[in-house]
Amino acid sequence: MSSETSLPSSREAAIHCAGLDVFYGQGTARHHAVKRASFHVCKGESFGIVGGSGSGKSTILRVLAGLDGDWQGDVSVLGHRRLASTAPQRDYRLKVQMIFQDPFGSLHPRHTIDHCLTEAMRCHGFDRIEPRVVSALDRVGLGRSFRFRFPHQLSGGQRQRVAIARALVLEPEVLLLDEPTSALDASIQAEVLNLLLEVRRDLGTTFLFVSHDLGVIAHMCDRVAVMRQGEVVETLAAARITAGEVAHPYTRELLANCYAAQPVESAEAA
Amino acid sequence: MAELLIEDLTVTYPTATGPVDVVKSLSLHMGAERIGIVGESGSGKSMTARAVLGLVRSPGKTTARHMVYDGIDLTRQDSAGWRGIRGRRIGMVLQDPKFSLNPVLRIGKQIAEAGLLHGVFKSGQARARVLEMLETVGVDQPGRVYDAYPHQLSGGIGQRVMIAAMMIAEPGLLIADEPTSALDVMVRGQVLEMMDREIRKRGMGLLMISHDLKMVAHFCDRVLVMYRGQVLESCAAKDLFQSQHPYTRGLLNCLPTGQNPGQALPTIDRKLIQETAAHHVQ
Amino acid sequence: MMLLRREWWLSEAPASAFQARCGRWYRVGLRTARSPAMVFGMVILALMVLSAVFAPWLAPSDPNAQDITQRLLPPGAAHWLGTDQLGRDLLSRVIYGTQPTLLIVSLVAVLSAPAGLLLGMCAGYFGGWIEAVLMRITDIFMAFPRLVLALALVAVLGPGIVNAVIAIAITAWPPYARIARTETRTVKGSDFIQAARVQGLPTSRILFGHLLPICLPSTVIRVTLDMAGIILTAAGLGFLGLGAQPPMSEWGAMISTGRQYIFDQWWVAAVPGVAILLGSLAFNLVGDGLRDVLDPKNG
Repeated sequence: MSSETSLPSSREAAIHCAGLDVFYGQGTARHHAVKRASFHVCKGESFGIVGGSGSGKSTILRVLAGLDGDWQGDVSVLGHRRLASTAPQRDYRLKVQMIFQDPFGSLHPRHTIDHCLTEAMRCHGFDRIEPRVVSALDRVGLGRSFRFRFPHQLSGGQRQRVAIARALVLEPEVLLLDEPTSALDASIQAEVLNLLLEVRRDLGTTFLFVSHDLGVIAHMCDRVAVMRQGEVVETLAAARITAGEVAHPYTRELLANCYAAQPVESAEAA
Repeated sequence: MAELLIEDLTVTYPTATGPVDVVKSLSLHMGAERIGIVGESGSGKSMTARAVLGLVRSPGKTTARHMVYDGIDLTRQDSAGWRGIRGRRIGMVLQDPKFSLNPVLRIGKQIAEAGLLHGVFKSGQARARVLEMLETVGVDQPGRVYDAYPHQLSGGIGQRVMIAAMMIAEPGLLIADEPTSALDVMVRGQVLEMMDREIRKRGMGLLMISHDLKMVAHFCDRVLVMYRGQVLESCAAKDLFQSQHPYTRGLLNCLPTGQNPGQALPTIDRKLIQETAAHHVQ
Repeated sequence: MMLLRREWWLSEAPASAFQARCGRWYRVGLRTARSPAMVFGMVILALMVLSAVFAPWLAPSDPNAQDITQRLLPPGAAHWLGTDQLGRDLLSRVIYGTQPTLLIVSLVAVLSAPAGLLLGMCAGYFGGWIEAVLMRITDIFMAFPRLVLALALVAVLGPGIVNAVIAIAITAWPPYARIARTETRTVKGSDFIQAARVQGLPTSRILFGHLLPICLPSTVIRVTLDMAGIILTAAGLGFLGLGAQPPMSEWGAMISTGRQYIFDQWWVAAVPGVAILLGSLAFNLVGDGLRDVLDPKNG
């Protein structure tokens, strides 16, 4: 069963999930993707979910983002209860944003970067759109020259930065990250992760970070939930993973298989 | 023991701004050992693999002072010649089994085809040999997989099937281009273990191409680090972690490990690397 | 003037949305110019459009001016393409014939393509019972053979260009709906559509701002290719006397009346026939070339 670490009760909850069940498909092909998942994320915290494929980690993100509807359970985000039957409202959208895995798929191929960043702002009636776009591009480290380019003119790392800018421009309080660096080269990954750390430091955004890479999770997150085939098998502090003090055998197996989580110096023992 | 000897391999592509060398003067000499080629995207590592197998399509051009495998000159082969080399002498395993397996043929048929084509066995023995091969690569229910179609298989089994299809023709050299990148971390370990066992058993050579430096360092005997078409460093795998080359160190250090959580990761200064690479050529 | 400099159009870092859009169209133009077949097709189309617009100035004589003494003359100095059975100059009639042809083709395209596209996109995006109902409606209309339905409609409404357009348009839209629905279903799951939903964009925005630009190229290509067939269908209706009515010089009707003279005065039927051939060919070539030019991979 999961082993919860004790939480400071004074901190407000950003995401609270209890007994979440998510299903895919209809009739006989109905697949139980997430089984009674429970976790709790405090405001300003960086919470990781790690697991292999089919573990249901991305599914949880999609439910929180309001993209999938076939779920049941007790879910509340920033104090408001979510219901499976109703689509998220406008103010939910302004508080919860998402960054997707594939930098090549998450930007519309026919929209300029400028369009991409300003469209949502215009739809939600933001003011002073021009300075917001400029400062968003600056914050993610892209110069003005990128503003009117098309996605195919940008590299993977640059596209992911645009995706981050797009998410941040609506000033969300919670950022859902679905393997944001899995498709990137190691050095680009480092740059994007640094950017994400900076964003969190400057804006105090709550992160829900999903990855299959234990090294990335251990680096980016405070606490981690380990998932396997739809179930949360363990929840622990990231530092314990790095120290190897894991309780569940699956986590131990994950750690053993993950070269990345092992520090460089000890690898030569193999 | 069949050896692969490459000297001064260059692959050039014409672009709007002039010809670009995607692989520059690569040299490599290997026998029944495991060589890893590591690099980021655009480093030319996959192009190298394609060049060895004559898969560089026009307008790309492959030139090499020497490129010989087991006495066969790989620079002077026509399509008939390649048919006898690809699969039979040199096998290739690619990243995503979904793209390498024919979606409308059953698995058993595809693997058998490879063996029959290269005359490794006759049609009467085909089914038995294929089932044996599937079991060797660690497939749990060979009979079920034999009759299955590629889309019915999970990633790990698909990759094992790919490896089975390649190994059934008994090549002496296997080129693996990101063979485990599309796989789950747990499955990755199992597939690598299986590859390790089979390669050792058959005395094959392995040319492993990957972006995952640590995985290659664990799995291979020697490692080549490539950047923008050039080999920046070539060393034994066990010495990789002590490497002093700025690019290799950069690649190693930029990986997050949880040792410094919340701290900025060191990144690679590309201008410095470009300068180093330019000096290296001279 | 910056607009005249090539670098402005091809700039990798455009400074405004206008420049970015111009750059894209310029690149499309460059790709078009590389395909000789497409350029040929576009030249013919341009000639047709110019003929239709400037017919009164281009045609050497009045297409309806009859002169029985000059009937059935072979192509020669006075009449470049000869005369028909009523002594009317064939060249002028062919030039004026571009008008009903282009009118029918463009009206059908304008009526059927947007309707089909919209229906298909809605079916693909919303799925469920909406998709089922819309697709069944599409199937029903697709089941009607075009010419038979045209005959039926004309029997009810009477012959004429407008009714011919209606008849063709009613059977022309289903393929666009099918294509749009398939593409929408494929694209619906992509991350950029999911991202648009997460950003809280209204559904109409997603449909028209995000899905439409993706579905549009295939539809444009399909419409262009279909135009060749529409020309033939319109000619067929004209041939049967159901389309443009005399004395309008519609090519199909011209072939129909030229049938009787085909052995000795072949030009009366052949000249409008070649015009139809060139028109269809032009649309085919352009549609085919558009496939490469509008390929999303080229941005």
